Amino acid sequence: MGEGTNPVAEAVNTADMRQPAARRREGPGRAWRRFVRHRPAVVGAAVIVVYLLAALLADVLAPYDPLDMGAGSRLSGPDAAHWFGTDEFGRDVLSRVIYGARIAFVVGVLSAMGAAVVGMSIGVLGGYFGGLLDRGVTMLIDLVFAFPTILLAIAVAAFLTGGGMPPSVPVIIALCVVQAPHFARVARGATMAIKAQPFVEAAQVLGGSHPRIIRSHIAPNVVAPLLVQFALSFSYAILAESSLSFLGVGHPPPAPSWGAMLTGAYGYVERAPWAAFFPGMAITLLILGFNILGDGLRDFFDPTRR
Amino acid sequence: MNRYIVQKLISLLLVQFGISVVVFYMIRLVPGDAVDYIYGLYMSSGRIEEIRALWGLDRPLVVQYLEWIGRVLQLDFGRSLISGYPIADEIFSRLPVTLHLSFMAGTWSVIFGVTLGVIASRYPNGKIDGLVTTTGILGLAMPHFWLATLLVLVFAVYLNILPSVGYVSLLEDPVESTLSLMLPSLALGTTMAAAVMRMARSAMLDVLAHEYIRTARAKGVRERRVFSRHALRNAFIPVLTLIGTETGKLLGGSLIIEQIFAIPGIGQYAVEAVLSRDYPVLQATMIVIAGSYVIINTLADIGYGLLDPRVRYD
Repeated sequence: MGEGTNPVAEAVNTADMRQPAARRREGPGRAWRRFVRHRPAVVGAAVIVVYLLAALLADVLAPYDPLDMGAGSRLSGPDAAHWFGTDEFGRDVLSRVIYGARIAFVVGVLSAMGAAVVGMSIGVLGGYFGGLLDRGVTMLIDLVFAFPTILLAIAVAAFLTGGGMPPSVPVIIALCVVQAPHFARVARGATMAIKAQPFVEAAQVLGGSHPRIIRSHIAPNVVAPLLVQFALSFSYAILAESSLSFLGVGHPPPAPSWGAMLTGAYGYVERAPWAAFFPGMAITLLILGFNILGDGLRDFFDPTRR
Repeated sequence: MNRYIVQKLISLLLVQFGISVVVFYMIRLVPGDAVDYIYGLYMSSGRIEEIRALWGLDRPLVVQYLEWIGRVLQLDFGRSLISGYPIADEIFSRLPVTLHLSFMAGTWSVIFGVTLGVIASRYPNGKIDGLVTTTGILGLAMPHFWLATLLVLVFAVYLNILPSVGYVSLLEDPVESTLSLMLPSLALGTTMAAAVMRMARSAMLDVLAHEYIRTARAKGVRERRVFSRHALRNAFIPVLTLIGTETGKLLGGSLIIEQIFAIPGIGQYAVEAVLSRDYPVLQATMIVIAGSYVIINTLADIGYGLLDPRVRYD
């Protein structure tokens, strides 16, 4: 008898095993309408889209080359030619802020994705198999949480720089290391909750292999709670990248990283406050967008709020 | 209860051990080793081997770790590669500064956070609530160093009422000392204040929805008393937990704030060590900062257990 021809197995399959997935499958139209009804989340998403466009279209949008020291006279205030003024080298602040979005998104996307993959893998494995493996996973999570994140990120980034890598790589790895445990913790908890559900037991009884059960029953149900974490990690990565660059262990000058721009501008903030104001504003607005979206996603996925 | 405390203390020791292992082996992440990095450019390989032997870098890692941790337990962190001074002395003079800064930042956060959060919960969805909630979201989104820049600009440059750099010791001149930490502590405490405020607001709203609050109101207890006696006491438990974990985070934030305001704390020492590749100093500061962080979190856990008996039986 081949797989899937057993009527009892089929019944169990449809009635029990797929249940949580089926509950979530409400059709894209309805899900979209439910999302749109959540006004703040839409505002947050819109802010992020604007930044994303700035990052993608930086070459078209930026009025000047972000590294061009002859774009204007030094430290001139905002005017029609330079909306955000110029910095101490006569570079156009608006152009640098726009190109800064590129660095922010590259670092944010890559580090959050790396952390999600690593964290989800170890979290799911620990939660699914339990025992000694789970002990190890929990210990690893606790150990990383024992350090203030920014301290650990600075140390990892500092140790990795100088290895001949492009400047973004140490930052991305450092942020992966400090973020992965967050994903692991969420994934582990969700996995343990799902593992206790009857449909997983049914799959085991039917002889589903571990990889198969993890792939088709556990993983799809773990992704939703991780999405919220992804938004939070993304925003944290942007904040942390600017902090690292501000301290001098992230992107070195003349790269238009928002944090590095603030370091440069701090030295002459009395004469040219605009050079410090706009990069900081750029960071704050983007983080605000992510936080609002994150809050919105949490409500969106929270079954008790439907 | 005693069992709960003992459990927490044991896990504290385990984590401290873990921290020391991580910090020790992290140095080995450096491409090449520290000796190469510092002397590689201008010394012959024979001399470099001699220095390695001098520092014990040619022995097995486990032996190196045991020797190192043995010295650390006696509070001997070695000497700075750059200045040559004993690291322990620096740490003892700098740690109180950082604790002072963190304490002030924490105080602001609790005062502003709890007050504003409770006021917002008094009139949910009203104008005040809207203003408070918006400020809260904004406070969480602002990077410390940008807020610090703005504060310096307004209070030190334009109004010229507060100093923008430096630190005066509390023992030397309490008034000047408080003034010197005013802007740094405000910049450092804002994130925590925003977090405390959001938590205080939502905890109050949760508690106010309970039936015993309705009962209290129905039997004619004054609204003020309902708030202070019935609601606030119960809403305080989650807020206190958050205060515990957020206080630990202030140590991380102080790394950046001390750098901006030129405050001679342990965070500044750590950042300087990173920038100058002063590995022994970096190891020592990481151990001390992460160690203090874990101790604060453990104290918060124990405090939580004391307040809420349910936690102990988990």
